[in-house]
Amino acid sequence: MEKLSRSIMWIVLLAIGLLAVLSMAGAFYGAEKAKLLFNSIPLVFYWYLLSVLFLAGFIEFTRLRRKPGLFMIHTGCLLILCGSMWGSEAGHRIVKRFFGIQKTPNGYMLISKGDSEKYIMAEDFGRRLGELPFSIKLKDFRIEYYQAYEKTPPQLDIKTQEGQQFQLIAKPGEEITLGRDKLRVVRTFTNFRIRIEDNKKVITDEGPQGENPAVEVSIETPDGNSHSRFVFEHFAGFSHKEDGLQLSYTSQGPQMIRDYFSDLAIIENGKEVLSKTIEVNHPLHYGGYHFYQHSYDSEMQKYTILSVTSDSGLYTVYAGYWMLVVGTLWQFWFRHIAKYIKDKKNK
Amino acid sequence: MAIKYTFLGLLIYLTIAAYLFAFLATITGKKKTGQVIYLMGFIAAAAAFAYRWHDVRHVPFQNMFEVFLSMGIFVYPLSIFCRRLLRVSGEAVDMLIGVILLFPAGFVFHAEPQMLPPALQSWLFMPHVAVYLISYVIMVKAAIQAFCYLKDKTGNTKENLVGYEEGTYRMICFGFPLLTLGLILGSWWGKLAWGDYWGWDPKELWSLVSWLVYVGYFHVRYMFGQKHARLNSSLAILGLAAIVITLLWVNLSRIFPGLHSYAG
Ligand code: HEM
Repeated sequence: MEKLSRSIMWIVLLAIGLLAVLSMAGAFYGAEKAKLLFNSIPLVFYWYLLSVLFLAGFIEFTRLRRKPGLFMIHTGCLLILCGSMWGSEAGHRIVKRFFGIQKTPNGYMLISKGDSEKYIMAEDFGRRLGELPFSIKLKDFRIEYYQAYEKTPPQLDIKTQEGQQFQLIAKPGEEITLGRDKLRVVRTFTNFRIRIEDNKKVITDEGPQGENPAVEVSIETPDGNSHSRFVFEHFAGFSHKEDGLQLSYTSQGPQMIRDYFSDLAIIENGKEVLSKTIEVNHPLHYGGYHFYQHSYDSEMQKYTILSVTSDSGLYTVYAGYWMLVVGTLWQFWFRHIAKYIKDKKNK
Repeated sequence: MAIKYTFLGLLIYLTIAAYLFAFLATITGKKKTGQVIYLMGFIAAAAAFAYRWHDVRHVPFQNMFEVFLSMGIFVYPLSIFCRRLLRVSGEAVDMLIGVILLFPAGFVFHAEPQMLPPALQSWLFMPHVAVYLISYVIMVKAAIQAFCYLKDKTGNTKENLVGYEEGTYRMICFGFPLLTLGLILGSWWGKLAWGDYWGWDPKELWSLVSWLVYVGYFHVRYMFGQKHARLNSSLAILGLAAIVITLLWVNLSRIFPGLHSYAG
């Protein structure tokens, strides 16, 4: 190998080794610090050097240009490098300075049901990072739950004054005799609420997802009297004076979330130009930004939180990805398969 | 450490036993018998995989138990393929690798079925993990070839098989495109699920390190050829070390939390 080629290759080896070592360090630091490290000024120099190395490689080594596999591998890496630099925060600042295009690299949006929003905020929603040239409306927000694998029926545990224990499936109509008393399940609630309407207490079930699962039972004593009681899953049972029964209730327990959905609409100049339902893994793409289902109001489900990212440089990175994949497959698999088939034919 | 008294557990133990007997038969010269038992082990492993898939209702790649279970079935087809087509030796050792890979599934990790959280519900889930697991098994074979080279340079040229140095190179050439694809599918998926194609989290960084070690291997081998063949082999082993850390990172250290923490 000539002296120049050799020197370039030594630098390449050092560059690859350095990146590996820094990545290991980054893994120890954790994601947040690693991100800062890889975006710091010395590392920006490193990324530029690496890009120049690729270019030097194409000039110095004809094989890198002539062999399709090697060409695609190295071009792919170069594209990923350029695309990600373009999409970085520094890249956004440079584009703004030289081309006057103002875009916010990333941030968050909190939108309440029925409202529209156009500002991109910092993660803690304390600072405004940018403004979209359109606004986004949240039409609706929904959560879907998994059906439990083995659906355990809701259960009522009963402990009598004498310390005897009983269990009953908490389904309306179920009955059990406890010594002289008779206990009957009247009604179950996934989300028990008391509301005052016309100065009267009204008990409602505001399901479907219970933050306050409860069951109503009625207890009949031998003298024909009956009274009813509410048993709450989250507010453990204490015994009543009248009947001395200690009751506790277990509904199905918390269900696991399967997915959550936001029905979004893009509003531009007062008109709805696009509407789409997004969920985790299915973002919305519009006007140079991607909008992701990030989080939501876990208590009341009244608002959704979207994460917003600019798509600058993204398609350059994707092009690089596919060149890299096709390049490695070409270089290491297809070339050999083609040769194998050719040799077989020649035999 | 716990024994699994379930049908799935039984299938895993059957596979482990079969791989072990296949190994013993092969090294004691009963190659044909070894082959038959090896195949039976594979069938039991495939049954375990299918049973688990049916049981949890998603491809069983979600947690460490399922990951090791799945790697246990890739061993057999890969070792047949490598021997017949790539002319790379090491079938007997592969049987032992099968035992080692299934051991954690059989005895270490819990098998409670879990439902897929929203972030994992993507069509990219299956190809991303499948491609990685296959490439990992291939890189284990590469590291074993490299290890054999370091111990015994002369290598084996019997039965039309290639020597250990060439064997290492062939295995890495076989596995590298899959490793690359795994990295890129993961990144693409990250973009869809979290909004970023690269989040600098430890699991991502370690997978980048593994990939870079093999990139380094190719360039070193191009620069020096066979002149520093021991260096080439050492890099192949280093690559596997990085892969093991990538795979077990979340379990090895709970001190460095990252986005991939559900993979524990
Ligand atoms: C991190 C980025 C890089 C990656 C992923 C990469 C990947 C590869 C791969 C996979 C090969 C094929 C090895 C083989 O077939 O044995 C290769 C070969 C090569 N690479 Fe890179 N490379 C990178 C950076 C560079 C740079 C910056 C240069 C610039 C000088 C370079 C120069 C070469 C040369 C000269 C070869 C040998 C070509 C041949 O076989 O004749 N590489 N690289």
